[in-house]
Amino acid sequence: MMKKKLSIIPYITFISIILIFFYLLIIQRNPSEIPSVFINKEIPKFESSSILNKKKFVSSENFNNEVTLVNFFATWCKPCRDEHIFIKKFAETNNI
Amino acid sequence: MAAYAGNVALWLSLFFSLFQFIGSRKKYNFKIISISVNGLIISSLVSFFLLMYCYIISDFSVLNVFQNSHTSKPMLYKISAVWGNHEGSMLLWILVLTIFNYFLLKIYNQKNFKFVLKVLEIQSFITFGFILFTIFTSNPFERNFPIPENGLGFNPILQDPALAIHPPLLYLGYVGFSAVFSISVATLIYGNDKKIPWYNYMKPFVVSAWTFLTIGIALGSLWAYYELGWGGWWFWDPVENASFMPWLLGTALLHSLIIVEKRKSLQAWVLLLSILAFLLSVTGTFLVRSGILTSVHTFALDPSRGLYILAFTALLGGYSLLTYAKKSKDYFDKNYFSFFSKEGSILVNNLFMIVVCSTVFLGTVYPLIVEAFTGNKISVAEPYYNSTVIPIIIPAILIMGIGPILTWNKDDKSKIMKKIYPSIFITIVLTFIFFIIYKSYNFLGIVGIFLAFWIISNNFIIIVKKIKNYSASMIISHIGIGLLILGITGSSVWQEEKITRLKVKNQTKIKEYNILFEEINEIKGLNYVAIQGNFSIYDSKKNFITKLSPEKRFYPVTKNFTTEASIHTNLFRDLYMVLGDGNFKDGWVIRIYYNPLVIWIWIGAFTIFLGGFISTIKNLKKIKS
Repeated sequence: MMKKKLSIIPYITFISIILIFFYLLIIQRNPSEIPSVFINKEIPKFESSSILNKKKFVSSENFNNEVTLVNFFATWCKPCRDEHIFIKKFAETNNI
Repeated sequence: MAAYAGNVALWLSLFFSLFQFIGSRKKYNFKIISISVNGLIISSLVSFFLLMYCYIISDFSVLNVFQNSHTSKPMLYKISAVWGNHEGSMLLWILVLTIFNYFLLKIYNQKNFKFVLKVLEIQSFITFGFILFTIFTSNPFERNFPIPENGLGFNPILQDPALAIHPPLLYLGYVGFSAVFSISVATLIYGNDKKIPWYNYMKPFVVSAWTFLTIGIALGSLWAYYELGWGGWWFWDPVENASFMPWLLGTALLHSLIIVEKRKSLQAWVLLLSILAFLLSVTGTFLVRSGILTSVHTFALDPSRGLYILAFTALLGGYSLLTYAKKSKDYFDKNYFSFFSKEGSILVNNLFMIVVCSTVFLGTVYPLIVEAFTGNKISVAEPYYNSTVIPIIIPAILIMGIGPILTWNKDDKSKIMKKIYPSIFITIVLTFIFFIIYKSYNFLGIVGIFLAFWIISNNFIIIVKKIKNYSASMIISHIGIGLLILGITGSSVWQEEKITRLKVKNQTKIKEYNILFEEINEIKGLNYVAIQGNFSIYDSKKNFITKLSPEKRFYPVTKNFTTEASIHTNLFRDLYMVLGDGNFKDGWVIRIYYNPLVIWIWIGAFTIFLGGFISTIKNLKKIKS
């Protein structure tokens, strides 16, 4: 009897998961948009080695108290390359 | 013209699948069913090869060819582009469904015809659903007007031999589970008729699907390793998980089926696993093709497609699992068995596989569940999988080593110890020798290496002692798993990475290797231009080892940059180099990986495949006789 009741569990689990998927499909959402947990927070202090010149990179010295845009990108990443043109313009016009 | 004919063939397959559905439902005679099954496979073959023909002749009047091909592309990749996109891959999906449909007809005989008709009815329903989906939401034969002069090209990272054959093998795997699903649901509906050896019918399909899935996943992983240039071979991406989950369930299914065969136990369990394995394959397809989550593999961002696949998945899953809930009681058994027996060890391992599968499933859909209930977006990544999957896998592998040497029913505990003493001894000795050579001590490393040798030595003992009743396929596959663990452990525990900037004629070091930057050149390929760095590798005694030439390629047609890693492989380690940006004045950024034992991952996977392949052939012969 117990087993008989248990055999409905796969069905219920499956239907619940399908309902969640269905709900996510019909609401307005952008799956590629992931909000950062750093929004409205101060930049953490960090040190790292630098590839360009052999000096150490220390965030508190380099950033000071000005508005700084730090962009993470990869050279082989097409969207990054497209974005770069925009960032350059942005830096020139907004004093960043 | 070819596109027009291809479209007609696709419609014909829709017709044949419907015809087969009605025919098997109304129990028409064998001849009519046979016509529909053959008609279905022929029409799907025709539409598939006609699309391929459109690609070969670069017929850009077909939208799909225009979007994914270019005249300058090498022939092999014109062909593989057929399944390198959503619409075309649906044709491959349909083709595989019909191939398995064709083999399902082969189990037909005078005694089981009612049962087989039920199986064919379900299989044709699945096929019909997917053809309908393809024709109305993703038709690869859609036309393009005015006809453009050339195509948009094909993503260059997909232009690769391993990736050309990876999707067909993978599809043979998880679409193959459709046949297992159909047999399972038919068995449930048909009721427990002891004359129908459904588990014998199911076995060749489970074994073949699992075997192809294994090699399909391995090739995908091999491709990711050398083509993406990230130095790794598994990233816990949703798509990788989508193929890994059916594999785990398939593994559990494969072993439980042996118990059903030998002891007529666990029947209800096997029927459930068979249903779930295919449902997971379809759900995986949904996750990738609906755009519901982002992954490196996500390709068709079209909500209507998502809704259709979801509705169809709901229909298949709802129907099969409800049938299961109603009918599985026919297959319950009251057999309990000892933990210290072959079936006991298989059952325990089954549970481990299910737990791993659920863990991976939870990791994959958890961000979606959180988002649905709270609106927050989170992501689940490698640390979760590593910290959950590894601890569950370890005991499973320990048991996997002992399982094959236990006897059926009940084994004497004191005899078990006697049986495993030699392999414990060999394992410890081998592990010891390993660490004397490698001189690197790491807890996970020791555990992994121990487990690998544990599996391998247990199987060698079976061979040496000439214990009877062991299939060669089982021993080969299990040794393959041992080798796989060796590779996974080596490459994940002892991988070293070095990122540095290097000028021409300068050198750097990784482990005991000195790397000298010889020169940098511009080269021209068939459809790309590239800069290529040339590096000479010397060992600590200044012996020349090899030359490595990583490239940065530019494909003008698709305006893509790709990195081509350069790898030197031997049985002990890989040296893996990637070239980054740079110039003559400041030097070039290079990434070097030292990946120990990585080749054993693919040797292991291929060995597993070999074992599975032998078993498939053996099981097919059994059905024929």
